[in-house]
Amino acid sequence: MTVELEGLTIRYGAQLAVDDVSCRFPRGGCGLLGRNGAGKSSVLKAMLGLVRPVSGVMRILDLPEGAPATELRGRIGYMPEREAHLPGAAGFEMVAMLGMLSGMPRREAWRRAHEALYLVGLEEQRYRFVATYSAGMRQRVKLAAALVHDPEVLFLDEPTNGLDPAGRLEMLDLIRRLGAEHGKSIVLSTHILQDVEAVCESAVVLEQGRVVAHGRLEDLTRTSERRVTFVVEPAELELPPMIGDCIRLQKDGQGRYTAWLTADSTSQPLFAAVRDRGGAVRRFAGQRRSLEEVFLHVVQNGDSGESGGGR
Amino acid sequence: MKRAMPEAAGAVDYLPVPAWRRWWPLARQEFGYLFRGKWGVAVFCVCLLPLIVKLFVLMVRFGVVNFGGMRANMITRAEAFAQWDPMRPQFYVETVVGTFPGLPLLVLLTATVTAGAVARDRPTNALELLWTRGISPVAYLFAKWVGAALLMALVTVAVPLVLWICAVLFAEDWSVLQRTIGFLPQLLGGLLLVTVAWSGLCVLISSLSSTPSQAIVTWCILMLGSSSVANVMAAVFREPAMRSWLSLWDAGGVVARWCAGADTRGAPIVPAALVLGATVVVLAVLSRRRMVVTEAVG
Repeated sequence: MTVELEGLTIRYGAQLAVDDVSCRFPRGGCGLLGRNGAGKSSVLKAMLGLVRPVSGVMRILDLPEGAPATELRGRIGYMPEREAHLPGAAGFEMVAMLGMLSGMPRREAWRRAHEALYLVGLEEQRYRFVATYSAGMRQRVKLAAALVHDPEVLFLDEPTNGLDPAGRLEMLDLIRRLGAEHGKSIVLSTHILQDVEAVCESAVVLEQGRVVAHGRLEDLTRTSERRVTFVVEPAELELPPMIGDCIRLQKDGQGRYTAWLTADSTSQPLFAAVRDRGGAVRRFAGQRRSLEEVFLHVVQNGDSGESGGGR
Repeated sequence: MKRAMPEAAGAVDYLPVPAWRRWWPLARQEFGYLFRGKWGVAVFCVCLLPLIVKLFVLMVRFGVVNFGGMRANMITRAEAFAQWDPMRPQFYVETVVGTFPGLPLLVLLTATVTAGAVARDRPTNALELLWTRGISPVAYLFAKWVGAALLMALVTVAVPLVLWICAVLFAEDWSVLQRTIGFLPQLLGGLLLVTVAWSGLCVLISSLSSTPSQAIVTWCILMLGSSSVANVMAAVFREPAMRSWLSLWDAGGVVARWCAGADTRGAPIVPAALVLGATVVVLAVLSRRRMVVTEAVG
C-alpha cells in the first residue's frame, strides 16, 4: 500500500474542499479522477504535507503518522500541474537544484540530474535554459525533477497538460514505464480518463470533495449486464429488439449489433435466433464499460462505495 | 523517446543532507546569479570602480607610482581630506557609504540582482517547485538573504578589506598595519552589519512584490526617495541630523561610520539604528504573512 486515507477532511476557511475521504492508493499506477474543483489537488497537497487537514488519518508509505513534511517529501516525487521552472536556470541546473533541496548531496544530485534528464529524453537539451523549452520539454523536465531524488511514489498532477497528441502518448508511455520498469508507484491526478486507462490499474473518483468510486479499473468497468457486439451475415438480416427476457439488442448504422445480456444468461439464445433466421454471427466480441461511462455514471448519481461505485 | 534508466540510477544510495542545511544551494545560486550573464559581470565591474580609484590613490600615497608633487600634497593635507588618508577609517568606510559613488552603485547592484531575488521566482511558479521540496518558505527566504548579502559584501566589505591589505603591502614599513589594525575589525563588522540590513531590506521588498520590476521600483523609491525626502526635510527644518533617521541610506551610513569609529557628522546613532532595524522587522513581518505555502500551491 502506497497511501491510505481515512476520513480526510480539508477546509479552506468556510469552504469544504474534501469531505471525509477514505480510500487507498495501492502500489502501481492509481488514477485520481474528478472534474475541476472536485478536490483532487487538495488531496495531493494534503498527502505532500502542504495543506493541513481538519481531520483524518494519512498513512503514507511506511512513515509514522505525523512524520515531518520534509521527510515525507524526500520519499515522494511531485510534478505540479502548472508550468513551472527556476528562472535563468538550464534544465540540468534546475533538476540538480531540486535534487539538492530534496536532501541530496551536490555530487549525487548532479549525477542523478543527468540520469533523470536522459530518462525523459532531454539529454541533448539539458544545458539549454528551461525558458526556451517547448511545452512538451517543460513537462518532461518537471517529470525529471520529480524523479531526481529517486522517490518511491510519484504524484503527477495533470502530466499531459498542454501536450500535443504525440507528446501526450510519449509522456504516458514514459509514465507507464516508470511504473513497470522502475517500480515506481504512481498517483496520477487528472480529469482525462484515457490517461488513467493508459497508465493505471486502479482509480479513485472524486466528486465535490467525496469519493464516489474507487477500486481496480477491471472492477470499476465491470457491469451487472454483459455487453457484446457482433455483425450478422447476411447483412440485411433483421433481428428483433429482444430475444427472450434476457437479451436486449440494438443495431447501429453500420449494421453492427450491440447486445446486453443479464449476468446469469448465456449468449446461446442469440446464436440460435440468428441461425433460425438463416444467418450467422460474425466478429462476436465482449465489451466492457469504458471508464468514461463509469465516471459519468458515478458523478451523475453521486453514489459512493468500494470497487465500482457506479455499478 | 524510449529510454532506459542507466544501471546506476536504479537505486540511489546517499546520506540525506539534514533539513536545516538544505538552504545553502539556494544561497549559492543567488550569490552567483550576477555572474551568469555579461550584463551582470559588467555591473560588477562598474561596482569595482571605487576600488580602482582608491588603489590608484594608495599607489600615489605610498610612492608606488610617482606623480610629481601629488604624494607630498596628500601627506601634508591629510587632515583636510581624511577620506583619502589610508591611516583613517574614513578612507575605507566612505568608499562604501559615501553618497557618491556608494548610493548609485548600491542601487545599481541591488536593482540588477537582489530586488528580483524572490520576485523573479513568482511569474515562473518556481515557488511551487521549491517549496514542495525539503525546504520551508522561511528557509527559502533566509537562503535568498544570505546569498544576496554575500554578493553585496563583495562590494561593501571585500573592497575595503582589499584596500587595507594593499595599503599595508604598499607601505614602506608596518606603520599602516600598526595604526589601522585597531579599528579594522569594527570597520568590517559595521560594514557587514549594514550590508546585512540593506540586503535584507531589498530581499524582503522582493518577497512582497509580484514581479521583479515592481520590486526594483519599490526598492529605488525606498532608498532614493527616502534620501531625497530626508534632504528636503533637513533643509526645511534646518536639522541635518534628520537625514540619519529619515533616509535609509544615511541611516546605514551612520551605523557603519559609528562602528568604524569614523566621524558620523553629528548624526545620532540610536535613531539611525532604530529606523534601520524597525524597517527590517516590519518588512519581515509583512513578508512572513505573504510567504506561506498556500501562496505557491494555490
